[in-house]
Amino acid sequence: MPERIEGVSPTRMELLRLRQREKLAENGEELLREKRDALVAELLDVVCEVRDARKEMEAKMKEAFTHLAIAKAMLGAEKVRNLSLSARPQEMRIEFAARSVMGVSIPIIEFRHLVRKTTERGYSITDSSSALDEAARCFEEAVEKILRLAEIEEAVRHLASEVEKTKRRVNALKYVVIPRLKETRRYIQMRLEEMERENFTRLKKIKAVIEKREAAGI
Amino acid sequence: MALSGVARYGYVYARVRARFADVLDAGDIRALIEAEGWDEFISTLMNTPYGKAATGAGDARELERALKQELTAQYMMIMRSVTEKRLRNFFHHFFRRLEVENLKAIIRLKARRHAGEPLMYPVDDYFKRGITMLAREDITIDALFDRLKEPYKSVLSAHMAHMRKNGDTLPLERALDKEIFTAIFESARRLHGGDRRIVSEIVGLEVDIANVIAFLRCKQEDTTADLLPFAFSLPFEKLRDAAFAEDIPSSIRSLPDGIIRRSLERAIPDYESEHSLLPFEKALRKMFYERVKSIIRGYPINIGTIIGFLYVKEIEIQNICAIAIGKEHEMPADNLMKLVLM
Repeated sequence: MPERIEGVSPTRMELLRLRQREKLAENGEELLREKRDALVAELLDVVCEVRDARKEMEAKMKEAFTHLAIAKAMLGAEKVRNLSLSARPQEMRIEFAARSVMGVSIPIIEFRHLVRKTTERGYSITDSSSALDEAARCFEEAVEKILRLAEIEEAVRHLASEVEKTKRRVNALKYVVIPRLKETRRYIQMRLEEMERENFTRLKKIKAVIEKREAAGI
Repeated sequence: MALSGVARYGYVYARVRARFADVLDAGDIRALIEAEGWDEFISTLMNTPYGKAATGAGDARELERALKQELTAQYMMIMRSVTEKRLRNFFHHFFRRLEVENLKAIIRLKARRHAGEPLMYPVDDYFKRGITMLAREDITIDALFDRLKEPYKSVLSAHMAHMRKNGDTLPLERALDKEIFTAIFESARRLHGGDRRIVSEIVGLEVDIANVIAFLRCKQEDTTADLLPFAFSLPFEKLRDAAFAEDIPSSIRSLPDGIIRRSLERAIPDYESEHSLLPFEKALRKMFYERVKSIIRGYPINIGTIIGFLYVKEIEIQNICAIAIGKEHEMPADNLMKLVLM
């Protein structure tokens, strides 16, 4: 049985206030439930995107490592390692923005296209092989996919945390706040009725006393 | 050929002919490819003339180190056996390619201030320039240039300012390529007529192949190719004309007729199905290997047998390294088969 709110005066004013609070809480619960459902729907969509993005990223990494192994086999592992030293470091410009889904801030990672042309990578073309180009291109594409995955995973993290928070709020309203308000309202109603009955009985008694006195001619 | 014409090859030819017995045949390579895992690969390799190199090779890097020593030993054997001055001069520069490879590796390492030692060809005993020692020392790129000896010091000094400014090692590498190939072709020009033709054909083909692969890679991305500054059967203007073609197959078809174009044309269907330039590279490597084998066919007493032997050893060592890498990466035998030359 839910507890009632302590220290509440059983007055009509309080009852009216409690009724307003109860209505507000019920509306709030309804809205939060809708928000939770919308967030869950959004979360499910984004989780599907994560699954796809992860699969894409893993496939790209696998492809990149296959090409790397081919490049190492064609040029020698040492030469590939050494050529990688002459590759120009790539400046990655990553900017963070945000979009709002049901009031939840979802991060957006914006970055410049990372895949470079062979001549831009800085290693000697005549000393290397197209297998190395393929490996480098696949790794650059894999970095893009990792960033995209990071963006979606972060969205999932934010959404999941918000769903959890909203779920807790809905539960708190549904199982704690509203039942308490109802219980308190019932209690006040009961007390008021009781007080009404007491008054009625008192009045009846007074009336009987007065009538008795009048009959006695006092 | 008159006896006087072959006398200069006598000793080196005999030694090279004896070493041809150690060259792995297709069956040996196939056995290495089909070995199950690293241990079986190493034990199969132990039963070949590379047994000594395979001993104690725990991974592909250690094996590569041993095989680099093995290739250097073959060059050293040639250098010890060649006595005729002009031939010796040519092989000196031909051998120097390995030293240039070492130097490029050190430059890349020091330019990036990267700790660690690259795997190098142990050529210092012959050239006495101490280049491999420089890789082991913790020195800056400037200190490296200060300690370089000729011909590299003067060749590289012109490009040092650019390197210091933006850390780009490519102009240095290009300068080294130019220096070494100039030296090789200059020394080849002084050889006897038949030898000169063979060297031009084989080393020239190697240069043309490097250029055409670079051209195709740049054509694929519509950029300008940075080629080696030499051309033989494939002049630069022909490559420039081919660059205007609509796509790669059209570029290939617009190249002048010859073994390069024919090899590339045969690989067009594979290119179209795989969307990769690798079939072209494999076709050109295969063609080069066939060309080398055709030069040594019948073991003629000329420079072809000696230079062919060195190329065959180099390709064989590349094959073993490729198989070792394949075994480390658990590559299927079918895929490995496509990467080796047989």
